[in-house]
Amino acid sequence: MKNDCLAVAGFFEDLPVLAFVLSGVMSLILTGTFVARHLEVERNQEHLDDLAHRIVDSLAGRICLSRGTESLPTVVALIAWNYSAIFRDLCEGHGYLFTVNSVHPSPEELIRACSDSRDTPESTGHAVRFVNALDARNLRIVLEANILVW
Amino acid sequence: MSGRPHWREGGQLAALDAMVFFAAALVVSCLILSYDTDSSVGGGGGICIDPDEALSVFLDASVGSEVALQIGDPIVIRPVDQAGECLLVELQALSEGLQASAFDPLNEILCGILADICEPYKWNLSVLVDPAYCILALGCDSVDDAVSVFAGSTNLEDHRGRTYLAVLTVSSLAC
Repeated sequence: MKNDCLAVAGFFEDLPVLAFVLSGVMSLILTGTFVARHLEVERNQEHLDDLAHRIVDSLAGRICLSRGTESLPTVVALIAWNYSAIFRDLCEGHGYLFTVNSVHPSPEELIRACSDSRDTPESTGHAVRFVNALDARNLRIVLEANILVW
Repeated sequence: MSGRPHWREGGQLAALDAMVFFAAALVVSCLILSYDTDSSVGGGGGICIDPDEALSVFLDASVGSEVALQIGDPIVIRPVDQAGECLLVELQALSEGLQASAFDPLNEILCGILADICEPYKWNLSVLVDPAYCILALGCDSVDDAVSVFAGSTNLEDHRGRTYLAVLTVSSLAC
């Protein structure tokens, strides 16, 4: 009987010790998991940002090369491009949303191309480039090319 | 023999050790979290436009509307004229001593173009003549109070061979 009482007492006096140790270990594990997850998301976002910049730089290069005999590329020619074929090569399987907006003289959306990916994005990368182009009135307008990849 | 558990000395020491371990674990967790938060905050404050590129497309853009300037001989600026050319006409006139107010209609249009390009950020365009004399300033005055300020510059040369330094400053603050 005496031995049993000591065992019960030992069990109860070990409970707070166990609780403190488990709480400490849990706080370390949770913090480590949270930080590792956060770092992974940031690393993924940096990769997507780099990809977005590479894509938009490549597109800006193609736009500049497409001017032909004109001093600048024309808006009509840019709208006629097959962007799905271009992005199939550039996006490495990632989802994308590409828009080209005229920001001057009249703000309007000129081009919109989007992947058919239905995945919910966890991280996104974004890049913007500005280019000049000739519109139908021969004005040198300012175009803003935006890309969002995920 | 009451059956009631007694805390022995060894048990109290073990509980004390566990509390110290728990406190140390909390401190370490807080340090890791604060380091992670600091590194995240340090990566912010950027802008998604390149001021050099914004300045270049601004100078190449057409003004888009007709402006009549009353400076001695009236000058009519056509919609297809480029902002950079119009800016050079203004700079040449200013360096010859003309009042800046004569170019208010043109400056309003130039500000509109830059505002469209730099939206939603604060921006300022300064044109300097050597030695570091600001001959023209357009846009916000308080760009420098932002956390991060980015600048792009280019040289302009008028018909008489005089050079100007155009500096576009864009802040991370929204207008």
